[in-house]
Parts: sequence; structure tokens; C-alpha cells
Amino acid sequence: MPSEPGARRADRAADAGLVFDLQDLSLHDGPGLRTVVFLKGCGLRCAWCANPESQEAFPELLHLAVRCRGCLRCQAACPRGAVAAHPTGKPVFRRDLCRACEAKPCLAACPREALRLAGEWWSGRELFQRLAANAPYWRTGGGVTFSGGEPLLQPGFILDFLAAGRESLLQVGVETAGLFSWERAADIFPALEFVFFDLKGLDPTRHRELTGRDNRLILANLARLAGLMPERVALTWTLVPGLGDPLSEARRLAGLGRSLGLSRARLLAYHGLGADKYAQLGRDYALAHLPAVASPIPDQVKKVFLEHGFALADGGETD
Amino acid sequence: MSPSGRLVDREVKGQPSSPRVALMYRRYLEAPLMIDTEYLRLYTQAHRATDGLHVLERRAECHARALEGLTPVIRPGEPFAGSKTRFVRGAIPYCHYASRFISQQFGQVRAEAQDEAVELGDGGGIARSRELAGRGEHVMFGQRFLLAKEELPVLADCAAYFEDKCLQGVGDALWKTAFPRADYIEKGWRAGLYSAPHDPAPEGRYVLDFETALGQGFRALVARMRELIATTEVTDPRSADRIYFWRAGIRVLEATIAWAGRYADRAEELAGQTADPADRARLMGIAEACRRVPAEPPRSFREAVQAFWLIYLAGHIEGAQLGYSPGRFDRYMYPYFRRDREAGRLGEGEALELLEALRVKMTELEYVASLSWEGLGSGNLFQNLILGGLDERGRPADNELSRLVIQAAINCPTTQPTLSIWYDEGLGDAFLLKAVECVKTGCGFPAWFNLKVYLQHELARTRLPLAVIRKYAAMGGCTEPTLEGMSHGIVQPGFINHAKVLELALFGGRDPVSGLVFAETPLPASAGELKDAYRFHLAETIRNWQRYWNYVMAAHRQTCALVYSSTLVRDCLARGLCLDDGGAVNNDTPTTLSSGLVNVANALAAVEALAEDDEPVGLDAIREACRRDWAGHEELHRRILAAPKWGNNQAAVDDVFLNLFDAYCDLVAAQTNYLGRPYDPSMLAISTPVPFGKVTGATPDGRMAGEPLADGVSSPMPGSDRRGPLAALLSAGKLDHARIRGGLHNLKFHPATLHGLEGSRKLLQLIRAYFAGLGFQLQFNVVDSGMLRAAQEHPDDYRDLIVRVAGFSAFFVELGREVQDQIIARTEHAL
Repeated sequence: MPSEPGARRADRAADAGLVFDLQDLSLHDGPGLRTVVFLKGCGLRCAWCANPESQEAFPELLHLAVRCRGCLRCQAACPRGAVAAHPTGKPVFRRDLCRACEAKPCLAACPREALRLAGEWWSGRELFQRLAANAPYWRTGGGVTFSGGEPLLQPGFILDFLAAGRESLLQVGVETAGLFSWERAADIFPALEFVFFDLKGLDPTRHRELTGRDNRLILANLARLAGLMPERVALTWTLVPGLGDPLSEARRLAGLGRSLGLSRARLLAYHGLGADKYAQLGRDYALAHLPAVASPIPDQVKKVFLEHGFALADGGETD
Repeated sequence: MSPSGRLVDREVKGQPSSPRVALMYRRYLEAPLMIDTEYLRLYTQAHRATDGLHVLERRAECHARALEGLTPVIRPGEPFAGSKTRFVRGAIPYCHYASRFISQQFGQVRAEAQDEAVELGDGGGIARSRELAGRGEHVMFGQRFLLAKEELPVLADCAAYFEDKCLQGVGDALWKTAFPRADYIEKGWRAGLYSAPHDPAPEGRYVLDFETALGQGFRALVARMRELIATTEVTDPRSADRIYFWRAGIRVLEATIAWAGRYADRAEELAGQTADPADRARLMGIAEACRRVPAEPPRSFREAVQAFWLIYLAGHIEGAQLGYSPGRFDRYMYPYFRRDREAGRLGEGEALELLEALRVKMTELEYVASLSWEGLGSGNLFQNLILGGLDERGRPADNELSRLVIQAAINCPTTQPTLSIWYDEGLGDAFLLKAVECVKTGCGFPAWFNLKVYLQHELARTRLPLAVIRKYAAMGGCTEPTLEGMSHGIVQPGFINHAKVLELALFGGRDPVSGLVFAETPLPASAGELKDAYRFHLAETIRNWQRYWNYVMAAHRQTCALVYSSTLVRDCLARGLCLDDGGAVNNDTPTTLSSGLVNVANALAAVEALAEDDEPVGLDAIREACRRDWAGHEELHRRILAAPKWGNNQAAVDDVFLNLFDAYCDLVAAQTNYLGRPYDPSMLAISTPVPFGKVTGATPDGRMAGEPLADGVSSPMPGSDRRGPLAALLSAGKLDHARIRGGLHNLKFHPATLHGLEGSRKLLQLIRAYFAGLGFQLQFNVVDSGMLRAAQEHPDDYRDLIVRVAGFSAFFVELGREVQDQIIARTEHAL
């Protein structure tokens, strides 16, 4: 892990947000046609995370080996000596030395677009201006979904965005994993159309093993959010193969959700499509042994949620 | 990718719903492509015997005798009769349109200069033709067709006879000597500035007046023409010509009735030979129907389908057609359908069988043209059946028959007719969802067209009543709208290669590839000068192309006037004028086509961007780099590729495109067509980007020499749409599509993206949002494993292929090989 990366939050205004991707015309991240804003930085380290470049709260360099031809122009361009040459001729990146410089000299030098910088700082207002052209497509009942990463770690940015969009028909939703400070994020919730609350598991010990953190704060946030706007919160659960008995976990999750007054759920099957991104970051993927393309959610699991009174909402294989 | 991250195959796949259609479909798949000289031989015989007749009567007599002499072929399983040729997949070599390319085949000479640049597929029926040719009784004719050896001398004789009498011969004799800019056209063909001569298959892009033809029957039309003759006396040349037209019309309609009668005879004969009662019933049904229609109005939906097919097919036989279309089938056939359904006489299964059989019959139609044109059209006949839309009062016009037509296309996955939807907000959910279901089969249709845009286009151009435009709005080819039953064909000389025009501008009017000089202009030194030069050469290119075509149309009137079609296009019959004399209500349809404008916009934007860069690059350096196909200029090439490109919703380049678009439309409309109306601007591509790209050197948009041009009209150059499909739609949505007749925008989706009801809903939301602006057309490629493999091979061309999963973001081409392979395997899995 880099020790003192160049562009940390401390250098930035409170309403700045670190965005690692914008995905237009997204069909599965809420109602209507949406633009998903992926924010960088998350307190969890889920083993199955499909967007590993979303985890660190600073810009990071991705190296797409599939495009690289090993010309090493990036090595010559790097002002910090962070690029070494592997005996195979391909570059190796010293993540401890890389500062993800804003001038991006290595990216500019690369003739194959094999390098990418994940993480650009935007103000909420700037981002709104950039996305405002999409407005005709928001009138489908869609809008913008903040995802991540953990978007609620950057509440000032989201509030700034919402303020900029006050005179639009924009509808905003958030996909959260629940690890955020309630006090700092609370002002956002009244303006949201929906919150997808992605719960990783209920057992605190197991949760720590799988994500690096226990889930007390997460469960507390879920309870407060459910109390505030139960009809706008959907429970999301990703079913990862090999992590315990899915049926009993489903019963516990559905039971908890119901006790909190929730009635919508999204069930996502694990996929390993993010495996390459670990390699692009110079990291190993812990679940590389699982197939990249997963099996569907078993009907019994869906049934558990249906029996607990849940509607399996958009993205929940309701059909 | 499904919402849950699960990869799924296309969720909709069909198979013919009845054993009869299954038999027809299999027979089609196994049939070789054949040339049949029967019609041509009879036509030529008649032509030899009719010297001295009035030009329209002679044309009518030749077609009539040939039609009456055709062998009526009824194949096992067919629920209705009518075959273009004696073969399942047969084409007529129309020597009276163009015989040169046919004569040249005898010496294995490639007919047109551009044939070398054409690539044709070689699977299916084409492979079968080659296999049979190896056995000795047949020869390969061209690259796709088989011809019986004994028919070779017939074809050679007819081709020689028509050498100087065909449309092309008569036309060439006129324009090559009389047109002052003839050299420009001939050079244009050699250099690939223009697509190859269109003479072998110039007809099409119109729809017959099926409403009247079915509703009144041919006998009533004949009676009307007799009455008109009886009440018109010759007072001047014009009244004489009207009488000649009606006499010719009577001749062809009566021949068509006789042709139907021969099918009735044949059906009875076959019925007498079969022991199977069900088959006898089928054949007797055909006999009864063909005795009645198209002479009299049909009494049932079954008879209406038989009538439609004979009326449609007769027009298809009369001319060398491309884009000749059935139009609003679900509107004019609905009265017959509804009557039978309400009376309980027609089951859904029976209706589906008829509609599926119709798909096979329409797919069996083949055409033979010069290799260049077959390549441009990819062998496709572009028969477009359009559904939905509005009625004359502006109410949604979709009905149960509309849905069954789509269901038939799902069940019977043939390539023809292609389906389209006239989109309006008010169309029913059941209909729209059925249309989306068809999209999910991956067949590429229906394509979606914004009716609102076309209404604006046609109101502005024709000033016909709104009610008329609503009711008869149809599609007359791949993406060109027309008014059904009242329009001249959307005839045009073919395509202009915008990238070649740009090369002329960049190199002072001299084509750097062929060395041909068109019109000398000073070498431009700046972006502004390049723009001016481009405009100059475009104006020359368009004007000469349009004028050349007017000469050809003059020859068309002398050689190939469409008499049959004229009797079935309003208001030819009442006016006593054939289509060539302006008999149609709407003569605004002839268009001028072009492709490659996106490359020009990208090039001009790049030249501008580099001139204003911190390290400015002048046009001389860019010209030199293009001349060397970027060799030794890699750094410049990289900078050019990094400049703004169309399709990313960036004003810098989008504005350039919009200006070019307006200039093109203005220049096209500045000239009048042969019928005295302004030419209509249109843009489509079909397969032109490949051959046009092949003959064009490197261009300042960073395109390499020989590389294909951008596809479609508003689709970005492959690999340059870095901001994803929505940005491409936002760019495309800026065009004033109401200015052009036609337009096209492609989107790719993985099948799982559209999974389930939710996926269908999202697709409809997307269409609705794009059409809420003035977007005109959308079509969807549902990705298959073949496309994913292609993306692995050519990742730069498939940048926009997004693997969509909730909360996950990645482009397919950026995934590692292993993950890509797994996705491909899963996509194939259930095929």
C-alpha cells in the first residue's frame, strides 16, 4: 500500500468527491435509466469485491496487461522512478512510490492506453454540470445512483451535487454498504429516492473475517435508516458461493429486514468479473478459484425472502 | 449479464409453429441459390415480337407474356401459392435492366471496377451452390448463384440481345455522350467516390396500394380503366399517352389474373394426384383462392394472404427490386383478419402458420446484380414490414394482427421481411413488449422508428394532409420512410463516399489513391480552407451524381417503366400517368445517399484541434502523414486519435458534424429530381463502409488507408466512443432528423442486460427517451458469442461493449482473456 499518496482528501475541499468511474445508461442500479457515479474509498475489504479500485480513498494506477506491449515509455515518463522493467519486458509498478500524479505523464506516454488512473476529484456542482446533458434520459423515472466504494463516506460531495440539481427532475439513489458516520451523512437521506443497503452478513465475527471490520456500526445504521424511511430502503445481499449455508443466512437476513419494517430486497449472485482489476492494481484476488460467472440465485433463497413479505425489486430477479 | 450477475443466453428463441412451415423453412435452408432464365426468355421473345408498339404497351406486353408463361410451382406444405422462379431460392437475371454485367460473367470478367473491393459471405445456400456446381450439370454464375448448363446459351442470347436495348445500354448511350460531366461520373466509379452503377437493380423503396388492390380487386380496376378509355378522346399527345397507359395497365392486370389462374389449375392437378386428404384440402383451398384473387376481393384472411402474396410477388417480378416493401401490413390486412376472428373462423394457430409461411416465401426471393451491388446490400432485399403507428385520427394503430406478425418472426427466424415499429407513445404495452421480445431473439429487428419525426419531414416536404401522412406512413426499404401506395420509389443513383470527397479536398482535387483529377483546387493550408474545399468538392460530387441519374431515369422511362406497379400506386390510374411520368401523389421520394460523414467530422475537428494545440501541427504535416499512411508519423497519429471524436457528446466535434449535416442537406435539396421535385437528403450505410474504406487512403481522423469508414449515420467510428452509448445517443440526438429521409443508430447489448420484464421495460424507456428528442431510429444488436469473439480479436472496435452488472463497471474488452472466455462460454451455453 502506498505510504503518502499525492492526492489525499486532506488536500481537498469538503465538497470534493473522488470518482473512479461514471457509467451512463445503467439499467440495473435503480429505477429507469441511470448514471452510476462510482466513488472511491471504502472501510470494508470484502474478499469478493468486484471493484477493488474502489477501496482506497486516493487515486490509483491501473495497468491493463491485455493492452500493454511492453514498450516501457511509461518508465521513461515517470518522475518518481515508480516503474521497473520485468524480465519479460512488461513494466512493473512500485505502488509505494507512485503518487498518481495529476499530470498523468505515464498515461500520456502510453501509446496503447494500457494505463488508467482510477480516481478523479470532482466538486458536486462540476459533476452535475457534466451529467446534466443526460436529463432527457432521467425522465424515465431514472437519475443518478451513487455507488462505490462507500459513497456515504463523501457526504459533502453528494450534498453539493444535490444542491446543484435542485431545479431538475433528477432522482438520486445511493448504494451503501453501511459503514459510514450517521451524523455526517444524515442530511442526505431526505433527498434520496432510494437506498440500496448492501448487507454482507449478520454474524459479527464472520463479518470481520470476510470484510476486515465487524458489523455493529453497519447494523446500527441500517436500523436508523429503516426507522427513517423504511419504504425507500431495499436490502441487498450478494450470495457468494462457499460462505456458509445460504438458506439459514437468508432466513436471518429476511427476519432482520422484516423486523425493521423493510419490504424490498435485491438478491445478487456472486460474479468474479472484477478479478482482472486486482491484477491491474498489482494485487491478488482471494477468490480466484471461483468461477467468474456464477450460478443463479436458488429458488429456495428467493422463496425465503418472498415468504417474509419482501418484494424482490429491480435487480432482484423478480421475473 | 443479468441483474444478479448471472450470464444468460438470449431468453427468446423460436421455431416454426407448424410442421408445414417447419418443412418450408428446412427446404429453404437447404436450397442452393439459382438463376432461372424462364421469365427472361419469355420476356425477350415477346420483346423481339413487339417492335413498333408504344413504349408502355410494349413493356406491358413483354411482362404480361412472360408472367403468363411462367411455370406455376406449388411446393409441399405451402399454404398459399406463388413462386418467383421454378426454384426455392431463385433470381431472375433482368437483362433488360443491365446486360453488361451478365455478359461479362461469361468471360469470368468482373463487371465493375469496384468488384475487387467486395467481400461476400460464403456460408449456407452459397456454399450449397458451390458444392452443386462441382457436380457438372450446373455452373457457378457470379460468386453466389448456380445456373443449369442448358440455360447458359439462353442467357447469353438474351444478354447479347439487350446489350443496347436495356436500361443501362440506353442510359449509357445517352449520358455518356450528352452529359457534359460524364467524365466525372466515370472517374468517380474508378476512384470509389461513388458506389457502382445501380442499373442492374434500380427499382424499389416503394409500397403498393394494397388497400385498394385487395379491397376492390383487379377486375374492378380493369373496368375503371376501360371506362376511362371510353370517356377520353384523343385531343392532344397527352390524352393519347393516357390511353396508351390505360391499355398497358389493363394488359398487365389481366395477365396477373391469368397467372393466378394457372396456379389454380396446377393446384387442382396436384390435388388429383395426392392420396392424403389433408393435403388435398390444402391444394383445393389454394385452387379456390387463386380462382378468386386477386381478380376479386378476398372473402377470408386466408384468401387475403393469398391475394397479398400474388399482388406483392407480381410487382417483385415486374422490376429489378431492392427495398420493395409490404408496408403497413397490420393495417390493410386487419379488416380481413378481424372479420374472421370475430366470426370464430380463424384460430390463432392458423393465422400464425400463414404469417410464418409468408416469412419463408419472402426470404426465398433472391436477386442478382453486379457483384458490387450484391456486396453493398449483403444480398439483402430490404423488404420492410412496418407495424404500429397511428391511424388517420392520430390514434395508436397496433392490433392483434400486429402482435401475431411479430410472433411469427420470433417463431420463424428468417431474415426477411425485416420488421420495423412506427413508435408512438400511445402504442399498447402488449404490442411493445412483444416487439421487445423479438429484439431479444437477437435477429436485429424490429428496428424502431420515431413516427413524430417522419410526420414533420413529410408535412414540410409534401404539404399533404396530416391525416393522410399518419395513415399511410410506411417504410420503403431499410430505413427510408415513404407514403404507402402513393409514392414514387425512393430511387437514387447510389452512394457518395464522403471520405473520398475529403481526400479530394485535402489533395487539391486529385485522388491520391488512383491519381485521377476531378476538379483542381488549391491545396488547403488551414482547417478553414480544408472545410471550404470540402464543401466545394461535395457540391460538385452531389450535383453531378444527381444530374447523371436524371439521364438514367430518362432511359428508364424508355425501357423499364413499371406499368403494373403504376396501376397500383395512387394516383397513376386516375391521372393516366405511369410512375415515370409523375403519376404518383408523392414524387418527393428520390433521394441522394451518402456514407462516411462521421469520418469527415472527426477529421475536420482533429485538424482544428491540432492547429490550436500548444504544439500546433499544420495541415501540410497532416497531409504528408496521410499520404504515408501514418508511417513515420506515429506520434502525430496518436495525437490525432486523441482529438475529440463524434459520439461523445462533445460540442467541439458535434458542432462540426451538425454543420456538415446541414450543408449536405442543403446541397442535396438544391437540385431537382427527374420528376421536378427537390432531391431529398438521406443517409444510410448498408455495407458501404467496407468497400468505400478500402479504396480510400488514410484520412485526418486517424483512420488508416483501407480501413472501413464509420458505420450507420450517427453511429460513432468504432473505438472512438469513449464515453459510452449514452453519450453517443446524446450526440446523435442533436441532429435534425426531420431533414432527412432515413437515418440509423445502432446499440449493442448483451442478452442478459435485457433480461426479463425489467429488461424489457428499460429498453422501452431508452427508446422513449431518445425519441422524446428528435431521434429518428434505433436498432439493437443483442450480442452473441460470435461478436464477443470478434471483440477479443479487435478490442479497439468494441470499446463500447459493456458488461453490465449491478454495482459493477467494466468494458468487455478490458476484462482478462480468461474472464472473457468464460463469458463467451456462458453466452454460447444454451444455444
